[in-house]
Amino acid sequence: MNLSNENIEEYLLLLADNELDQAEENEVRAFVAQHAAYKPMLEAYLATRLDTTESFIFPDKESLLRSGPTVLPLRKTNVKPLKLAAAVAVLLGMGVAITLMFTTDQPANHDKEVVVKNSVIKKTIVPLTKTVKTTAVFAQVSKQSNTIGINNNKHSKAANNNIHNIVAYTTPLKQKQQVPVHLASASVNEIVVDAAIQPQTIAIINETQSQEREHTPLPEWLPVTNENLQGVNDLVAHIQTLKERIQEKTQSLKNTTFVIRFGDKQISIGK
Amino acid sequence: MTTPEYNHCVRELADGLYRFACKSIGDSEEAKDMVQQAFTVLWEKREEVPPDKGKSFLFTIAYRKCMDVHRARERTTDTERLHENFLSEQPKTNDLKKILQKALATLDTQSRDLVMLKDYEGYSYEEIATVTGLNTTQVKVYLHRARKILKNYLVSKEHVI
Repeated sequence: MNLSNENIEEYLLLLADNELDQAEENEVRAFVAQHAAYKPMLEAYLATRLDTTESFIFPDKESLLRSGPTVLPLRKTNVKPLKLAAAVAVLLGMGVAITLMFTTDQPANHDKEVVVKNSVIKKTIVPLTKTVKTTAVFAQVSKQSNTIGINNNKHSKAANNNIHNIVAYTTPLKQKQQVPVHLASASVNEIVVDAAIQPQTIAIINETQSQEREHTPLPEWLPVTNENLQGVNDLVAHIQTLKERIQEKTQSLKNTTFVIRFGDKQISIGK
Repeated sequence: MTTPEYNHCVRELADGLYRFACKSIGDSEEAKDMVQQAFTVLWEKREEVPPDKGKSFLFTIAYRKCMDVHRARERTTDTERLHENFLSEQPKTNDLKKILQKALATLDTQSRDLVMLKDYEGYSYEEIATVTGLNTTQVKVYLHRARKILKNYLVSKEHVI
């Protein structure tokens, strides 16, 4: 501030109005102290301040008060927000886990398609729609048709009429595609044929008699167990091969002449 | 502004508002009604008024009502008599204060209200401008003019200083 005789009265008014900070007030008072002529002016302006100590009490102040709704403050807890959030997350996870445990998700096994891969062709074994008992069957090759009948009876001849002719869907070796292979067991009354399959040979499926069939254990030389029916088609192919070889051998034997020589004499057997 | 905040304004500001109204219009009963009206308006508009603006809101209402009273009277002589009578009813502390009250009564309504807002309530020039609707420069000029009048009244040869 640059105090002078021209502007001192303005600063005295500002001082009386309490508009100066402490430093500025000290400077003005110092100027007045140095210029005594302005002291009465300062005192006169300070005297114009109204007395704030005068007591004024508004009567019946309670009549001005208002009442509002009661607000209940939340009780403070000692639980930290992080721990509370963790507890909530654990409870939610447990609820989700319990929900997942009790939801049904998969159909019965017998409605599933089981994909069986072998070295030659890919076939899909489709279990029967009804309950399939253990495949305790005896495989028998039929000469008349390229079908394989599964005979559950120990006496195969007598049980010819009761043979289930299984539908063996074979595909050429070159054609690699998944085709369902239906298997039959003695306990099955119906065999479902998949119409989408393009079989090379199809055998007529004969429904069995109502009588139940005994389950005969599979021979050990069969590359299939009672529990695992994989490779049945391989068995079919193998049997076909054996049959052909036997036929060839038989034919060759029929055309073969055996000569037995005893010294000078010889005996010919055959054609 | 919540109800507790409103009630806090009542307890803290009712006396000062009453003093301002009394000093301005010179009638304690009318001043009491004016205070009640001011708080009623504050309660009705409490949702629009922030808690820290309660004081300026109340004094703005009181100032405008005082100006309305003064305009309704429109007779300076009667106003001066009211102030003289009012001041004579006040407890006599010392001569200076009494003379000052008389000097205050000689001011026009607006100047007197500005001085009271400045000295009784401690408002700054800017806050007084907000309450009265004037600009800061006008407040400063009017106040300085009022102070000079008061000073001249006090230092005249008929009075104390």
